[in-house]
Amino acid sequence: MTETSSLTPDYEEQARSARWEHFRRSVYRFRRNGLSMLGLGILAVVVILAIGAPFIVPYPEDATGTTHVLERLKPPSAKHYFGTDKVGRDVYSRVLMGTGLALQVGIVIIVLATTIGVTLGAVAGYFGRWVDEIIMRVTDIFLTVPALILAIAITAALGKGITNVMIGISLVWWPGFARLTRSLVLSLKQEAFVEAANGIGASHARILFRHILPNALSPIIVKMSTDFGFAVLTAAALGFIGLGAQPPTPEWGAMINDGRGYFPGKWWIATFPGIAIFIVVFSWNLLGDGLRDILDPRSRR
Amino acid sequence: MHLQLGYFVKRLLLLVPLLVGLSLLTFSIARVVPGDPVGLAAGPQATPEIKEKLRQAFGLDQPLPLQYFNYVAGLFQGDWGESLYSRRSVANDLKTYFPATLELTLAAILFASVLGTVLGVFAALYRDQLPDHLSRIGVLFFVSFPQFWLAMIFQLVFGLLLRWFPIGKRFDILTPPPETITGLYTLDSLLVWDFQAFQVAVGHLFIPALVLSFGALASITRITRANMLEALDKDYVRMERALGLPEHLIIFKYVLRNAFIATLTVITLEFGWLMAGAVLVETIFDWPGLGLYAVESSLRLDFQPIMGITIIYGMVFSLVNIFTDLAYGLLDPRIRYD
Amino acid sequence: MLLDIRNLHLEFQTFDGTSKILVGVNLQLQRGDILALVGETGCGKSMTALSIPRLISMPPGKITQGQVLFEGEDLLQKPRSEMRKFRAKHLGMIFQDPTTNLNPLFTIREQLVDAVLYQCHAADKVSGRWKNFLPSARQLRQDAHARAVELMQLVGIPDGKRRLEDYPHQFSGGMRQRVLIAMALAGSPDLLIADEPTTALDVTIQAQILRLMADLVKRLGLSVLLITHNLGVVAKTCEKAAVMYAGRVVEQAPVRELFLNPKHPYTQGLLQAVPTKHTNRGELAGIPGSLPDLANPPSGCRFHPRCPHATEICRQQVPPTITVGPEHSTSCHLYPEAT
Repeated sequence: MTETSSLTPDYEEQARSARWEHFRRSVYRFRRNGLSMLGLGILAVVVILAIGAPFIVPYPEDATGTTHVLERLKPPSAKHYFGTDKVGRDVYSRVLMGTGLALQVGIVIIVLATTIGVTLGAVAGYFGRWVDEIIMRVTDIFLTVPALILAIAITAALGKGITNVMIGISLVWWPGFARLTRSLVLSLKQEAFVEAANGIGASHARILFRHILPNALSPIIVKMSTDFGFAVLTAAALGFIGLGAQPPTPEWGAMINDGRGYFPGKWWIATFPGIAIFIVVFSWNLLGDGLRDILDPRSRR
Repeated sequence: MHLQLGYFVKRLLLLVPLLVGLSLLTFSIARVVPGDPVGLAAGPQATPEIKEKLRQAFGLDQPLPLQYFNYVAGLFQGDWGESLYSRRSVANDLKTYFPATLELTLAAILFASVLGTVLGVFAALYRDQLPDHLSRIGVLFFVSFPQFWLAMIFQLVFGLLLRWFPIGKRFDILTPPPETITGLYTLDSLLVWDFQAFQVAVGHLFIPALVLSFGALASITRITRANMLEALDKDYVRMERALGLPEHLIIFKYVLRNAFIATLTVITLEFGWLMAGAVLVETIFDWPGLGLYAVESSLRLDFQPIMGITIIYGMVFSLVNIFTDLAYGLLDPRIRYD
Repeated sequence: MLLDIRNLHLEFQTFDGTSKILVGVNLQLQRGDILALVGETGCGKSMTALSIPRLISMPPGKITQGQVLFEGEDLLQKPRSEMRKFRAKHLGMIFQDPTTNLNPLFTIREQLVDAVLYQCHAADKVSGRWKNFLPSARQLRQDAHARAVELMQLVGIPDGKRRLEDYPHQFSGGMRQRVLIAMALAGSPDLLIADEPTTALDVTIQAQILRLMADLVKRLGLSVLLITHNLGVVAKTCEKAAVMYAGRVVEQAPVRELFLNPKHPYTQGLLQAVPTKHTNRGELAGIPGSLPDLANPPSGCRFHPRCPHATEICRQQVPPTITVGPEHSTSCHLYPEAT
């Protein structure tokens, strides 16, 4: 009896220090990847802009409904860095004010999709049998149709507006996470430590959350990082089609749609929001590439 | 190389319940619509009586399960409903628009697969050196742009500024397109030896297909690189080197086939993505395909076409999946389907 | 002398530092020998074997010193392009796991024919896929196919001609190993390097494969370098043996001499550890201590922490390799250099 109690604290300590060592190594490798650091840097700037936009832009009211019809369709100048749009609003202000919205949309979609998807996938993989069958059939049906199409259909049904866009895209995105989680759980279920936990008499929930899921985390995080960019792009696409945020909300996709009619003559209306989307997605992809290199055991350098 | 036909017939048959499930899904979505599609279609001037008449004409006054049953029955008979807006048969619309999207998607996936594989192989061979980094960044770069925006820019640069390519549509306005055999203008013009038409068709197809392919290009390059690296690590590669086989034989014959099989799943996945991404590209380039049809119908809450489109997409995607499994079975002798 | 490895030093760059895998390996193999390279896992025997055809990737590996003389010519000085032709012509190599060493997507015929083509004809005439359809190339391919059938028979695969069309997964483990031997011998090499060829096989199949190899040596005049950790295999099949420990050959002798008259304390310990019919229950002898960490090896003779006869000089200097009998050499301070 005394032997067991002197063993356990040792192992926990060892495990903890091993994980810390692994973490330090990962951070080291990450920092050596110049591009990922660049991505991180740009993203940091973006986040700061998102938070600080209302305070730094010259015409914050242009994002909330003010129009200056006299100033419409002016090209970029010292007064309006990115020019003005069809009702005279300052494009620069609107683009910056839209940053927070874009980030928010991306985050909400990913968080929602992951929560739903991982939960359902884990349950399906762990309990198996008819629970698995049902969940997998539903997933299959959702996955049969390419994401954008289904997103359009669902959002159209729910009605226009940025909230519905977020709901719609999340509903389309969760099956991917469910599939991934399920296969991870299935393979982890076979592992010895699960059998051991079972043998001790741990409850299902405990096994699932304390033992299986932490080990499945890496590929899921990789997927989350890859998908964030796509989520932002899809949301912008829906905005472009007209299903997203309604005027005067400065949603980038919708702004591009506005500018489309004046393209290429008054090119600035559509161009700058597009560049903004690019910056966010590109920096995130750079970051994600680096993350993937660390987390994905298969992509060795 | 072997085929297990029984398995594939079974899978084709399994498509039916899948599509029924899909139709149920889209039906539910369409009927849950908070907006009033009939009201929209009838127009703001319509009186309640007209709206009621319209509702009856479309069977919308009947109980939901009956509506669904009629719908599914109609599906099997080739009646996919009518557009609430244009009163045209959805089936006919689909028949017209589908080949256009197919052509665009096929061209894009072909381009992405070929270029992606080449880039991926070179990235793997020159791992961590300049070609590797360049191709990864380059690909990441292009995929971070919103596709519709990129389409606009490409249209501007190549169509208007450089005048290398036409701005939009599938064919010249003045010349008639080749006679419809498959519906794919490029293929049809080749089949009748009309090279003039072929040139025009390709000219119109090139930029839209190129823009559409970028998304897939990224994934295919990345996965080919990863698969090549994994394959290069295998014991049999070391054995082949020990045998004295030349490096180019090892890489381009032995390793590539192993790596490519794994890439095939990604290509199928991307095909689905591309069919979806076509929506945006079609809008910009005025390409008369399913995507355009889908967008317009969505905005008008015209649910019959929406359902029909969803089901078509579902069917195509499932068929592509089955086709990939077939290809797997042919390429990898270890796989047996029983 | 067919193969003479002199003072070979090999290093590996890892995340935790530089590992000195081989520290002055000396090995001699005469034409017609079956030489066993024996040692525990991690002693460097596979690395030594892989260094001969230079199959180790040179970052992260690095050969810092030494020569690998094949019929007098130093292989380490050869340009890489020449090495490939050399491998094809003079060396054959087989590895431990027959399953992972065959490409699963290609028939045996494709792999074997390619092996024959590139080993027999040094590939100059058969390059590029399109050239393979020329009439002259077709003749080459047919000849290669005929030779492939011969090889299948040589290694004892029944119904060889028909089985060429099969895929690797359709063969049993023993059969696969035979196929690999056939591929390695396609170009009639001078030296066959076999890295634990039987470890992954059943005991009965092991015996068959070893018998096959001995038979081939007699019929083809082949020389064999056999890597193994199994002393039983050494006793049965090999004429000479070299014992390795922690990156160095500590003793080399004809097998009988080695078993009867082991000079190095490690060899003695190994032989004592093998249970015989006289060993009583509960009496398994081992060698105290454990294998050294190659990133932080002990100074001087790497065996000294575990050696019952260790003295001060053992801690300070790596003992040189000294001849202590006919074809019997060892590396230990117990046997001072004869002047």
